[in-house]
Amino acid sequence: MNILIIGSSTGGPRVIFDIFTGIPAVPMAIVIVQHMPESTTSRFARRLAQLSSMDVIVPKGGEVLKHGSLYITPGDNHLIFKNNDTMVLEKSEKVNFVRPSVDVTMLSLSPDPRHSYYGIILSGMGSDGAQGLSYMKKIGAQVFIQDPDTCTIKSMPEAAFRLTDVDRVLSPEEIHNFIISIK
Amino acid sequence: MDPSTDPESSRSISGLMVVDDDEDILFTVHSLFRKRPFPVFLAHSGKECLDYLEKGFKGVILMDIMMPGLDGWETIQEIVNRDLMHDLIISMFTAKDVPDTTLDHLKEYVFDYITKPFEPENLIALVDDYITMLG
Repeated sequence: MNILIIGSSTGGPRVIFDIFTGIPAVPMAIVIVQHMPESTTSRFARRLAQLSSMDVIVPKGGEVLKHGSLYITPGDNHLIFKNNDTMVLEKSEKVNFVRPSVDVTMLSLSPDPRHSYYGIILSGMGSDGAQGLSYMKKIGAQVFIQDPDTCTIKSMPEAAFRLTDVDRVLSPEEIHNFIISIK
Repeated sequence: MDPSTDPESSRSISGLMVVDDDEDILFTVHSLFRKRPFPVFLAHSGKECLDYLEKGFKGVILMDIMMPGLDGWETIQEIVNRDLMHDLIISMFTAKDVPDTTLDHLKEYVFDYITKPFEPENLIALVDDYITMLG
């Protein structure tokens, strides 16, 4: 299975809307970890369902990843993977001052010959996702950051770039094209 | 609509709130959005913003950072402390293009970061998008 984890914070939602506008149901399970309050999650998901043809789901815990689905991590929960394909929600301590934390989700994956992993860090404050993306690279993922010049706030992708030999630095349009190129 | 003269009109109404101590900014943003199909609320301070929220405001907030009294970050902290962070999209609205990283603990409550001066068309498109999202 193709599994893409997208980490995003301040300034990320508008990029995510641009990326997913017109995205068909691609053969990939995509998990978005967006720093946001719990009350915003369902509205964020509904907007993405309007913009893309993917099956947009806010997991409640226990769901198994499926191609063509876009999973929105609910605010105030960490999302971790069990057996690399089942999503579990946790209300454990905040990490990097946030819950959900991108690092927590990415670090919960393990090498798995059944899957091709991909990771992307978008606009945001701080450094959440830097360790996670570095770890994903070590377990064989292709990893990317949003081009800092296209970010509202650069610090998250720049922190990831400092820690990881990323495969590519992509503009939002290139991220869109990358997603629809997955066969 | 100028709700700043009628705070009670904000009860349970969704719209746009601009929080800024700069009267010119409030005037400009109000002018830009006055013909949109949602009300625009003007708050001159963090305290006034909190008053609107206590009266039931939901919607998009453009929050200046540097203000006398409560600054933008302190206002957001107070919004969180008072459990008013429901059905809100908050964007910082500031001349500072690099955020203060010591405020990392509030980043999950900040959806966006718009710098002044701004392109009117871009601001309108962004706010429209967020208003649509809140439905």
